[in-house]
Amino acid sequence: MQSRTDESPVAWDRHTAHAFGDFLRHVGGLARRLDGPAGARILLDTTSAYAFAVGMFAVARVGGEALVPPNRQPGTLRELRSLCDRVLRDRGAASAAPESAPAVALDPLAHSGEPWPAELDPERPVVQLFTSGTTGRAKEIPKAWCHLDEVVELERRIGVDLPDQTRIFATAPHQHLYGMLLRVLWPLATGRMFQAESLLRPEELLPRLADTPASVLVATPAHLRHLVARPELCDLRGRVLRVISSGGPLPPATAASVESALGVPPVEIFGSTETGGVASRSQPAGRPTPRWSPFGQVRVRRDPGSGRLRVSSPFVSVGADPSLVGTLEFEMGDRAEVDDEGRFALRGRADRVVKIGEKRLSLEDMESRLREHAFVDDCALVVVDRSAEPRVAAVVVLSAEGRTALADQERRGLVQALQSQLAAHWDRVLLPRVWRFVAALPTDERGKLPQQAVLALVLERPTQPIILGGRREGDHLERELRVPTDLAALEGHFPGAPVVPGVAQVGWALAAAEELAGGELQLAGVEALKFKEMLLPGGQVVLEVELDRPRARVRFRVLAEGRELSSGRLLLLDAS
Amino acid sequence: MTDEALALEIKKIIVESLALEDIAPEEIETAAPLFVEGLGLDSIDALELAMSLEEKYGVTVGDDPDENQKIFYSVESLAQFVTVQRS
Repeated sequence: MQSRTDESPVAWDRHTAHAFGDFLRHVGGLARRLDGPAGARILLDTTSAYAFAVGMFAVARVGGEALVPPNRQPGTLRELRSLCDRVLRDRGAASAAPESAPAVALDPLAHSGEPWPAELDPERPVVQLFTSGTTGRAKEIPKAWCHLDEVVELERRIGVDLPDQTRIFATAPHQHLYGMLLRVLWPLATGRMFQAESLLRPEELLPRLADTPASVLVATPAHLRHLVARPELCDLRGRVLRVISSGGPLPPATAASVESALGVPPVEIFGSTETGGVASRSQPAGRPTPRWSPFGQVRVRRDPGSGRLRVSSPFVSVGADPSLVGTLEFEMGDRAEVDDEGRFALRGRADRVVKIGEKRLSLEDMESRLREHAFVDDCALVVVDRSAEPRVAAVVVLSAEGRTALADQERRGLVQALQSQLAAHWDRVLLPRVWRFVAALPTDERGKLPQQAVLALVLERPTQPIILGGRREGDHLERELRVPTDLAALEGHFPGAPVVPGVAQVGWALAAAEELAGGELQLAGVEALKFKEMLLPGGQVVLEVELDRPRARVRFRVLAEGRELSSGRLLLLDAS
Repeated sequence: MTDEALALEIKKIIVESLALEDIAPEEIETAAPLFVEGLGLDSIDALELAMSLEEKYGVTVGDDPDENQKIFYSVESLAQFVTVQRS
């Protein structure tokens, strides 16, 4: 480890390098401005990792507690603001502040004063992190310096052999424990420099890495997946000396690509907000995946009852009583097998907490928020793996109010209303992207919700067209529709030349008539059916339906650009 | 290709590559913001979309995060970017 002078750079932000002396003066100056009652809670809302570091140490200096928002959604910031006495917000966060964010805030970098003497009380909580618990709402996890002291163990595992001038780059957010430890506290503690900006696109990150003789990349699996698709990554061999990945499982193929490009296998870190870093491993290409090897001072065992991993170390903070420091044990949400040497293999999550874009989401928490909406009677969330990244899908049983909204408005308006209920609290990547509206949720014989059946509902091809808009006058309904390209009725009809079968169109007319009637209708027969032109998938049409109650009939027409594609009459058993 | 045709093509790429459920390409407003307050795309979409545009047009964005945010602001700004890069 190198010795540090006032002039040694600690971080650089765009074109500005911040020297160690500047850092101490920034912390000292801000602490002077913050001076107030000890124990004050201060919201620390930053986009720059350097401003974050200044804010965190200044808050600690005045004996306060920094609340670190897990995301920057308006609802989250509003809720945390209500718990705080002051707000610290850097320029980047202020320029991207949601409208509802409080306006009066101090910029951590606007003050410079007497240098901070760099003294810390190891056992007092200095930051409050938030995590989605194994059940229910976000939980506060207080961290004292003794919990963050783990950087010493991290240095032993990942820092040896790195040259003095190594710079730390990161795609992992500094607001989460992994980013806070690896991209801010580890470089600060070991005299290395860190990049303050978050460079999320490979195009932004790669040229900066190419300009740096020795660097470490603190990344997440999602970003590494995109990064390995870039041929320029190979040019960084010998420059990027270590790649660290955490936040979710790293696919073996991505690990292998990193190794073949850079010549070193990535180091994966496993941990959680509560436990800090627990263990690390590397997956050298072509060899069986090794077990996780716990960091120094960390002990693990498998809970014989739940099969989950139990972690005990001085870095564990469970949030129950912040004065509790020392070696604590925490049961994680992951099932594991532990061998005689204390190494372990993970066997999947035991709860309904999922990770998307490296962000942890309690499905139960989101379901309970969704059920609060007036349109929703019940709902179930599942994760689907449709594109490169998994996404949340929602299966919703609408309330009477929700059914009216679906009939009157359009599906899109309804989905937007439900999404905005959730968008106030979660990052956009966690919001459901697939929505299915059903009459009832499936249940098994124990009255429980079978996840497989819910997933099947989501993956099922749609039978109904997408409602784009329309209007209703008495017993007459006019509706603009789009034919989904994956409509179930297109299956086998016809291979290579899909056409919507007539029977499907009759079904849509009947479903619309049932909406007019406000209940189920019994079909007795059809007459005067005409299919003049083909209806193709992706097509946009107008469906006209008229319910003739006295004569127990339904007349329907399907039109496209004023031309009639099909028409007919449905005969009902009873329509009164 | 006219500006309008290019804009529509980009809208189709957005809907298809991101598997958007409730919007047809024609319904995306050319000048409206794509992220958060507009179409509501997120950071995962941003990476996916960049890859799809590169596959289709062979264009790559630069190293300035602020500039990239401007390029990905709307279909209009993306179309402009694609036109300039290909000319």
